[in-house]
Amino acid sequence: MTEANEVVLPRGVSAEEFGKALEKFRALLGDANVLSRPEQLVAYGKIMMPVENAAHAPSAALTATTVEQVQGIVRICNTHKIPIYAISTGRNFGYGSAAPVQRGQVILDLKKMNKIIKVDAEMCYALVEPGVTFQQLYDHINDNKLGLMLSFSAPSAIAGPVGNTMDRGVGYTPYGEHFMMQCGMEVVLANGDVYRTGMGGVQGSNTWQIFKWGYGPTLDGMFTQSNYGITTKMGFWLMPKPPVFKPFEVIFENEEDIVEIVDILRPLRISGTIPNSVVIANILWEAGSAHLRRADYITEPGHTPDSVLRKMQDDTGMGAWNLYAALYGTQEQVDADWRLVAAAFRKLGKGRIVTAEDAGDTQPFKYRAELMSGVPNLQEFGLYNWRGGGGSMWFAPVSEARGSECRKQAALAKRILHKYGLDYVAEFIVAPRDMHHVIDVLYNRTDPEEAKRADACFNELLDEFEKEGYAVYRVNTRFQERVARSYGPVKRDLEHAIKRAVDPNNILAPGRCGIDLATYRKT
Amino acid sequence: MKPQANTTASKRIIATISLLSLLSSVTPLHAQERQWRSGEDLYNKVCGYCHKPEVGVGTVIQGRGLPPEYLTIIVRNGFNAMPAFPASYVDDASIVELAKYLANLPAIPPAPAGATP
Repeated sequence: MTEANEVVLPRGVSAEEFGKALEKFRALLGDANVLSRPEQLVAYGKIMMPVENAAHAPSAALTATTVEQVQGIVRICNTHKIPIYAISTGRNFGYGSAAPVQRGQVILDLKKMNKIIKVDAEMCYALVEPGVTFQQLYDHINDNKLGLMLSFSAPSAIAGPVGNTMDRGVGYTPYGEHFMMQCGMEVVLANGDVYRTGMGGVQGSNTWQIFKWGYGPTLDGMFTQSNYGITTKMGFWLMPKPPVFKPFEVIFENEEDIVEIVDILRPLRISGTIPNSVVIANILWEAGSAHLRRADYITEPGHTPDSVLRKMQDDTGMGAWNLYAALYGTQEQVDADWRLVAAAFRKLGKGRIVTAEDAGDTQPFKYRAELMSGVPNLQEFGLYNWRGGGGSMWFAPVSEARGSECRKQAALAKRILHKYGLDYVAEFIVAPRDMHHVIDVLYNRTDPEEAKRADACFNELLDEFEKEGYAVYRVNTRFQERVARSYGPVKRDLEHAIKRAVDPNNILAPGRCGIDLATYRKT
Repeated sequence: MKPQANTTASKRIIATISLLSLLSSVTPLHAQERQWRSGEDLYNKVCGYCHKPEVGVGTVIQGRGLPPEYLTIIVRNGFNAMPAFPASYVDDASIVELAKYLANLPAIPPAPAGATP
């Protein structure tokens, strides 16, 4: 894909006006923190979506280190009507990475705001700035022997808790629903005010990271997957590291087994017998993260036929579906839970159980066990080598945790992906009642024809799933406006009414999650 | 296994290398404080998660004498699925330290082609 050479400007802003804003940014932040040359901006424009990088190119990037600087930035943006797109660590791969939702927006890079403000080992919580990475927090907890465990998404080491939670990402431990574990935010509003959610507004309060709800309306959720404020601090709860951790895998041979897997699992999740965000990964997810490559098996273009998938199973011992879960607690608790789990799968009469002792250091068991116990790794990036070429979009519809529903979604997704010559590379992330059905739409982004096909495929996935009453929980920046439409006009009207109230100049990330005062018209 | 056909991406990288090599030979992109304690720290906490020989997600980069200018280009641009890192995340001075550290690690026989860098 080629890059456009023309000067990038924010939407509706003249070069002269933009120049004035840049001068003010430099006065506020210093020259070193106002980046406008192409070589300074190139890293922010790297995307995995099937459009030119130019479609999401920033006009500039600012790096701030204090809340006061963020307040100053939004004031300048209001004066000059500059749209600003805040990032924390910029590692939202497959969802837009660090690039702005619309071309020309100025990136506010908060990576240098990276203080771990507090980790309370007794109350089991952390309060951090946006630039803190999971690796940084992991090191801090280990160095200080705090006896706590993190939950993170697969790009664990290099991503961070604030960005992941603000996009409502998930992890693999009992604390895997990250927004559920969030407690207390500090948000710079578009008018420059600093708002603290929950108990944070009470002078002298020591319960900001203890009690979520505070008094009156609880607004934390409205700052996630939105553009109503810039989060500059976030609190979240941490799980005490258990004395015993028992990861295990159950391997299933047939694609149709998904029905029974989900139905046997649901009561174990709802009862809390299995406490963590279980994963059920299909053969291609398993193969990609264990370094199998498509070219090892087939060189013909198009989707990988089922006969090849079966051969991969035969060669490697991987299943059509591979369930990963874990037990946590004292030895007595884990032993008791294990008896229940083993009995459930014995009763099912299907599935080969693999324990850590069986698996040793083999992949992908090893990295799955690490993710379920809060140890960072990037092993899952092996998925990108399956087809190669750097294209990836997450298609992540929500499903009931009901076997028949999962089978229906899996079959529908596979049919559409195959129609476009792409593979069904999927996992279900299992909550007690819902599933995040996460599909990595992998394609060769360096091949314009394949990129175009992937784009059309993603559109059809959205359309066909919507016809069945399904919608995604999160999506990359190219499709955010499209997905917002799936959730109905009343929700969108309300979201824009809020936007008009809290950000009338539309300076905060217009277009994020489909919220943009400049383009939205009430139906 | 065959190397990936990444002609367009390769051209883009080469073009960018030409431009940035010129710039980086004149002056650092901008003065800033170091984000990492050492090249080893950066390797262990970021790059090595994909590029260490025992991981196998990305191409092995240790013991190859890769110059800092080359590493800077790859770090800033990414390559295929490898993400790009801005200077706020990985600063120029730390990349220089990374290059020194990697040069002193033992060379590893090349893995089968096809991995992302």
